[in-house]
Amino acid sequence: MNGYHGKILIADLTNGKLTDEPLNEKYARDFIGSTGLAARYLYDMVDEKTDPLGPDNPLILMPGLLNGTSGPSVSRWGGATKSPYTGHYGDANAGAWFGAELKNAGYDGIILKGKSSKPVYIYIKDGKAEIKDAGHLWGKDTYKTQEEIKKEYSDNRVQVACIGPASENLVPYGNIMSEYGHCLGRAGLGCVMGSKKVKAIAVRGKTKLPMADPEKFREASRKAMTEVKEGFLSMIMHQTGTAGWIDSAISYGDGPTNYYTAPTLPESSKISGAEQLEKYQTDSTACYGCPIRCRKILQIKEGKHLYDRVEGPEYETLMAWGALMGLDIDMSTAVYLNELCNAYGFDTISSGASAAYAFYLYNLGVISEKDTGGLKLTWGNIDAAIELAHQIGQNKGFGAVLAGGTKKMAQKYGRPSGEAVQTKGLEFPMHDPRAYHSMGIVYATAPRGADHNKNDAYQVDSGVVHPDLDVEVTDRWADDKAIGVVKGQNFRNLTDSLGICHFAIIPFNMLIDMINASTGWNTTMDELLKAGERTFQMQRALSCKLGITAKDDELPELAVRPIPNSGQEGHVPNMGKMLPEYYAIRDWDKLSGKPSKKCLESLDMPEIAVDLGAK
Amino acid sequence: MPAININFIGPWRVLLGARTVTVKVESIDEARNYVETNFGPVFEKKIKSMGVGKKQSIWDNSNILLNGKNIKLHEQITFKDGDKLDLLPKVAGG
Repeated sequence: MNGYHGKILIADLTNGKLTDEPLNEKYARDFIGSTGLAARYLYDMVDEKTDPLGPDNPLILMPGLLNGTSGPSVSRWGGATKSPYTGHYGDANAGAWFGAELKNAGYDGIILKGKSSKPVYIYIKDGKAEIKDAGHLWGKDTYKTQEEIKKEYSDNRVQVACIGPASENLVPYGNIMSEYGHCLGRAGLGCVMGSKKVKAIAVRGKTKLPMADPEKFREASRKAMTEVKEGFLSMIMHQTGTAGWIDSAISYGDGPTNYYTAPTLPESSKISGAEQLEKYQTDSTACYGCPIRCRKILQIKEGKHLYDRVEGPEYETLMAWGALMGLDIDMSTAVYLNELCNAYGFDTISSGASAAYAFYLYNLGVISEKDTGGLKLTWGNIDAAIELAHQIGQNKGFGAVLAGGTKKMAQKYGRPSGEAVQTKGLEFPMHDPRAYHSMGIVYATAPRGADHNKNDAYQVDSGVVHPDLDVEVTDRWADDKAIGVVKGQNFRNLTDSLGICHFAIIPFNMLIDMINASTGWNTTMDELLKAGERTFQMQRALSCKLGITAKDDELPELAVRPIPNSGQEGHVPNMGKMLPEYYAIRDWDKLSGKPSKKCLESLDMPEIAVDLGAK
Repeated sequence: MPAININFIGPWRVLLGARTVTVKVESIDEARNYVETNFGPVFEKKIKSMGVGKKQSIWDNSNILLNGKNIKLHEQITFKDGDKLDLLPKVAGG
């Protein structure tokens, strides 16, 4: 089976048994890898009754198809589970080096089942796996955990995916951290790992990946490498990273501020990528095989928290733990908050949004110091924000309320549900649908809940569109977005399955050459995009299987209140027009929200149509 | 001829080494010519130092806001004194 090792590791934590299982070849061909393939496995293993923190809920981690190869920017790997945070389908993907090393270790994926009675970690090297005691690691933060495991094997190239205290404490949006600060961030995959008492998975290997035509692959990947390196997006990302978007976010009104009620905080420019490059950056670093090198190494010599060498925070964290709470922070504090969240190991988007919602409620007078344990949550109170990060990580005090997320907070304090800025239980990332109307459709329809990676339509509306993808760039406030969003979601599901970073624009002919040379398939771009569509519809079907219906595809009222005199110019997305158009294109039932039987069958998923009761 | 401010936003500021320039131009075409003529060589030198061989246009790789509002690149606009033209690199991500 070229392009794959042909096996996945099944770890039954209840009885401490590890077994190799042949990779399901049909699933691999249809769903390719990473979150797509993981979700297909998950579909067979969970239902509405599955307790997300019970032994029956699996945690499935899978590399992208091209992870570990010489292709450009092919580091992305992913995972899927029934989310303990949202209660339905959850997935996440990450970059860095773990996915490539998992592939090098000889596996196409890992499925964690059951529950261990004591803390353990799993070590995999060159096709062999063992369960090890993790008593000495339990309680340690994600940075220390990674360091200690690398030290145990005297090998800095061991890649570790681990949880921190937040997931040990079952914070529902606890994440899985690898290569220091790179995480499967959303939907609480770390919390599921914590419930199984698995502290970490460590991988290392040099197992040769079977390839149909290695020479042809090398040739195609060399060409693709040059294309990626010379692209305009790559150049800018290399210079200023994701934080480079902050200045544009201020101009466009894309960065939500004071919990979605104010124009983007102009002071956020102090922590932008441009500012980082000019004042703090000493080096850059890269994920596996990536010529872009968008990750910033900073030196912070002024402010309350000093760092000699630290990785710079990404855009999402800088805004969620910044402007969203009205925080006018300096770089020192921004880095400190990022390090705090990473060390505890929790999602900076959902946590930042939950903390910001608490600020909002406090400023409305709905909650007071009595509720917050004495914290004064006036907009911009940095010390209070830092204390909240600690409390969330420890799942204690008022932090335990924030760990439940905005949806539960609105319920707890008797607030309108439309005040909690989330869909399907997952908080909006830091791209405001009032700045880019396409993001309204993206957030409303993404299978796991508000998800800017499926797809990053604000990129398209900013003029960044793959030249080979047939998507028209229209005005960012136009309401003709449905077809573009559908195509973009299908494409992003494909690139996620392949393990390709969103910032790498690889021409389709080179992409096809790489895939065919690796797998021996004789595929076409139409077939690959169909796989992207299949994956998206299957994930949607899984959401529906776990209780999601059409009524969950809505935007909260607070996030569609106009903000005049901002970069949004008072615009709001016309969901009444766009959503029905989107449903028609997707062929989803207007009430149940399920993909139709015809649709699922046309995508070669008749068994899912039957299981789902699709009409 | 009206004097307008051209602002290089975010990464442009770093790549082109300028935050704001005040120039006398009447139309979008003239603004474009000014930017490409005066900053094109700076940009070209910068990208060569990054090992990139392809020639790139500043203007074509920008989104443009006039006084904070979106404009289309082909729009025919006549400037007035004090107008503010923001050039944002046509990139997004994060």
